[in-house]
Amino acid sequence: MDFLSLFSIFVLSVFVGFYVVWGVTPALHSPLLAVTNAISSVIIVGGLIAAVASKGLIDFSSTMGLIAVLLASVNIFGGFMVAQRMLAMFKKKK
Amino acid sequence: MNTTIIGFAYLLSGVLFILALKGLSSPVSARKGNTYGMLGMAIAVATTLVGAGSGLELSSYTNIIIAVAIGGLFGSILARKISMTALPQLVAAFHSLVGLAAVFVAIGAYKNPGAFFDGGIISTGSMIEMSLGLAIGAITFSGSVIAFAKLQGLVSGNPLVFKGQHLINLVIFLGILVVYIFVMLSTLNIWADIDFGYLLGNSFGLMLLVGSFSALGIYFSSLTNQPIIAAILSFIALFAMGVLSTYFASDPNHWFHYISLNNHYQSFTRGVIDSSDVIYFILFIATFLTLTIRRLDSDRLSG
Repeated sequence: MDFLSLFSIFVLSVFVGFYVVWGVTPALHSPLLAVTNAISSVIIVGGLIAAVASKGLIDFSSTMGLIAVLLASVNIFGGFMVAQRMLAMFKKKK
Repeated sequence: MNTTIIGFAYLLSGVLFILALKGLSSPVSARKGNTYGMLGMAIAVATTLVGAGSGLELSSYTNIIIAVAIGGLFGSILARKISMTALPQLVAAFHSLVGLAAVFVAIGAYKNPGAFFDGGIISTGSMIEMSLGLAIGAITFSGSVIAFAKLQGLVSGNPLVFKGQHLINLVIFLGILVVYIFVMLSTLNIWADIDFGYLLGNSFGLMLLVGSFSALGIYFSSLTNQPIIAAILSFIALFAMGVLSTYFASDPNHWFHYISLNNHYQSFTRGVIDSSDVIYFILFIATFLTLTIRRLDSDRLSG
């Protein structure tokens, strides 16, 4: 993709992020943070691309990719579960 | 797999992520939001595996499956077992892993550009993007580690300050810039012959020019409390210094040619460092900085 379309996506997503997160009830800040954190591990996509590229062989680049996949998947599973636990706590309080 | 379908799948997961964040803004929809997030992540991962690995056998996924299994198990156990009060610092600790993962992805992409970019050539734009990704990943990692330490009570909750902190931050910031520029130039150097002396001379001249402009601007800012007036004054003065020499072009011996900043910059653009030009710029900067200091001193002493 050319620079301009990538940059447009970046600018638009800045606005989306701003308006979506603006005005959240303070009580929901922690779960929101947890979910945002879990979503940020979408970086796993980059790791997968690096890991798959070597077609099953292990070279430097795919090792880097595998480490990235490992770290990011800790965060994917852990992050969403933490968010779920927080939300469960929130429901009980209500 | 068709690239259009892959594109749409990524778009779908992006939309699901936005819905997840939006859902988290109200208690009623919060749980639904979390589910959207998981769904979006699953679609993103599945699409990447199907898209990137077209024509691969299952065995090439073994490594990935093992990595995900270890990571997932570790993350799940941590998330389940840890006490409720420790959840915030757990989020911080998890987040540091994302930063680290981004760093590894950037390194992997740099060493094997064929997997990430068409034709295996890293364009300048991608190079900037990768460098930024690397730096932001590293900052995310260290920032999250400190956030974790603070929440865990390992470090006091007060802002971390130490002597010369701003100076060190400035040096780190400038250092990152210098490293980027160096990496970009050396990447370019593979394909093209770069005249580094010429480049250095030019940058040096540009630095002096910027310094002179800033010194004049600072002086005019010290004269007035109105930012607009200071801006307009500086602009007019710099415009005069820069452009008026073309007005006197018919008379090459006119005194104005000697004070024009542009004329003194000319030799640098040809890669020549002329000591008289350097001295002129340094004198210019020193004069206006001294005037500014005098001006601020007199303000302080009288007021």
